[in-house]
Amino acid sequence: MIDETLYRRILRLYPASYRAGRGEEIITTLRETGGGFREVVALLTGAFAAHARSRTTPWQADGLHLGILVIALHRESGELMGVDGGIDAWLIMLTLVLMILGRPRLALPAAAASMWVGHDYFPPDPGPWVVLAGLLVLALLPRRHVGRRSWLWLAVPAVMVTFPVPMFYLYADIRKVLISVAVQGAFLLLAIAATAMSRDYRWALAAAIWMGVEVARFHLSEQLAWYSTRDWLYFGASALLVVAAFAVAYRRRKVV
Amino acid sequence: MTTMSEATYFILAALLDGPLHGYGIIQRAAEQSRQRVKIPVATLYRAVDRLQEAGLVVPDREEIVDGRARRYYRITDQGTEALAEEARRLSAAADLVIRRPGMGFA
Repeated sequence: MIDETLYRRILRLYPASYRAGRGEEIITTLRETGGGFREVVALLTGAFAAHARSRTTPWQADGLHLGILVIALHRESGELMGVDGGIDAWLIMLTLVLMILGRPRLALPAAAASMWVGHDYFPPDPGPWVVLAGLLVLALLPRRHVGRRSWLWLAVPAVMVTFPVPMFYLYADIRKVLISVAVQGAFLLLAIAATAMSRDYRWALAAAIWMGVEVARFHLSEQLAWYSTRDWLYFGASALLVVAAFAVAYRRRKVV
Repeated sequence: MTTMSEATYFILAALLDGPLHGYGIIQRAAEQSRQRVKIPVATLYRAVDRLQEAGLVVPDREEIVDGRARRYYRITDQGTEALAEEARRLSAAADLVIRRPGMGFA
């Protein structure tokens, strides 16, 4: 039998509201079943599911919020890695904080200011424009339709700075490209797993927005008349994962 | 059209004889499925959350055992109806094979 302390530690990973409502009931039942490794795995998966299902905002607004947050995180990572990251990096960070707080009306001017003072991108980056447009849409929605997000999202720039990876440039080191593909693949797989738990389209929509911007960025940066087999494989696999997220959401919505 | 997972089916079936607490549901579901459906605790409560949201199950009462609260759950009329519908579907699917000559069921 596994110690009750371990179960209580895992329960701390659940949203506080869920823990308050179900925590003791789960512990009591675990004591009765005798627990075990299988229960630990289910409890850990349950924590992820509880977070995925804890969103009460409409999936369309939440998916858009999540999608542009990931794009803004990616941009902030790029700024932090660049040698000329100055005041615009701080403005993007401010935008991120306001987005995490669920305040698009305040984040909108911060995002616009970051673009105003920021350097011109060459090749042009569609990301900031998509973030701006997304924030504008969210700002027009009633306040209750945009929720807060976890501060853990701010760990993303830290990870990206630790693994500074040029995305798809033709001469990039293949190992770096593989890490890049792994990071993006991991995000898309996370989107599928979260979709399976939340049983709606919010993560699938976020993944689709993210992929759309990635494809546009790649197209603008490489200016290629043709894509290599590697590019096709990458975008093909990513598109499949996005479609899989939508398919999972469609199927899971109909299962009780 | 909504479909029902196997675990959900056995959870609802476990409640047909009256309200049960979490451990009771797990035990009854394992028993009635001949130990095929062994529902982990966290999975059970996730399913119960969904069933409550869908109006198929409601909390019944709480009792204190060894200083710990135990909550009982009850199947609703809507839950009984959904379960009967699923049973009819499964039965029709099973009949396709069972009624066929030469399948060894005669």
